[in-house]
Amino acid sequence: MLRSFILISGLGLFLVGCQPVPSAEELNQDLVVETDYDNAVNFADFSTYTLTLDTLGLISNTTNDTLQLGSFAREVTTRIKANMDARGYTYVEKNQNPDLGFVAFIVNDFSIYQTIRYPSYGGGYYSSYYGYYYPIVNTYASNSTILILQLVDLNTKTAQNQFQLVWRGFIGDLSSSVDPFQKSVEAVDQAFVQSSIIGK
Amino acid sequence: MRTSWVIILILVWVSPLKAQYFDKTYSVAWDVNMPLNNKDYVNQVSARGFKLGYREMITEKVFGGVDFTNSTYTKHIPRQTYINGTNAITTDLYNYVYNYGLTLSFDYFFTTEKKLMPYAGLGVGASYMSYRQFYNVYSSLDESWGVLVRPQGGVLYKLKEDARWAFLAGIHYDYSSAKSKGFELDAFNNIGLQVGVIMLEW
Repeated sequence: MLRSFILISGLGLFLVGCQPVPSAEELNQDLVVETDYDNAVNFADFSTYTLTLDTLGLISNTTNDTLQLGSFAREVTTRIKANMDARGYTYVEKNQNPDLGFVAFIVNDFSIYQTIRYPSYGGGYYSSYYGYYYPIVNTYASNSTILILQLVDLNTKTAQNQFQLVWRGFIGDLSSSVDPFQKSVEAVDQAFVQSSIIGK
Repeated sequence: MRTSWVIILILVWVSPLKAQYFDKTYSVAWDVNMPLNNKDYVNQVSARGFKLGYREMITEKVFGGVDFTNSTYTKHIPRQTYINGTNAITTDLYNYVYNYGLTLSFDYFFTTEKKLMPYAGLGVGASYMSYRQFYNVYSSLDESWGVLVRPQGGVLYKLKEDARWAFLAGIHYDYSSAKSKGFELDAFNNIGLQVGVIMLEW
């Protein structure tokens, strides 16, 4: 009796104590904002910038669309413009020879994994007594989305004939966020807050 | 004469009960631990822990066996910005340490015949530490093995002298040499309190 109690208690404690993790609700309260910049660049040398307003780029394995439109794109680009303006840069159209190009796009990855397990009871898949054993299929799905912000120097090209990337920001994970719309806007502001290097 | 025989018979009947020292024990205990260092990484008192133990009698007062222990330490660091050169990251962090220990343990019982049986012991074995840092849907992981040394002491309390089980209360200090290079953490020290039950076999 007591041995059973100890075994059951031990198993219970093992399951409870083994590897608890923080809850998804706790983890996804706010988005992670990560930024980096080119230390060789003097951001005060730039005066003008351009940005596609009301539109975000889209790279996704679930749709062939390459643009994200609508209120989310409008709100995000509006916040980017507000921050760039506040740092002393002047917004100009693309054909007005801007110094900087601000690129904002979303990368979405939706993946499905399946595992197939064949019960090995009796040593085979078919038993004349018990009949056929069907395989057990488990399906897992993951969906992750990040918002990528980039500032490129439109006056300088790399050896690969690409515009020089001078600053970038990663904001994630939008898919798991409790409020992706509002949290993304806050995260755009945070990307500038932690990038005091950007400014005239 | 007849009375003497009766007394002898009673003694023969009773004395094995009195001399029934337990020679094996199985125990399960809830283990509450507090880290003593690496508090920048984890600082919370952990109630998520347990101990499973087995002992066999070596001498009347010395028992040897194995202990398996597990505990989980945590710390939540509110959202803030970490700057490293040109890189900056803003997030809150959930730091976790999953600690598993397997020790060869020896306990000396000051008495094994009374209801209250104090003991002191030492366990030496292996420690496995899994350090995980959660932030949003992302996480970082570092794992390490080390030597575990655990001086311990406590009491067993039986409700009846011939009871086959007892309550267990103990205290222990753990030193684990398992460091984390990834998180730049030193060897891990903690103290813990254990409360549980122990089965006595003879």
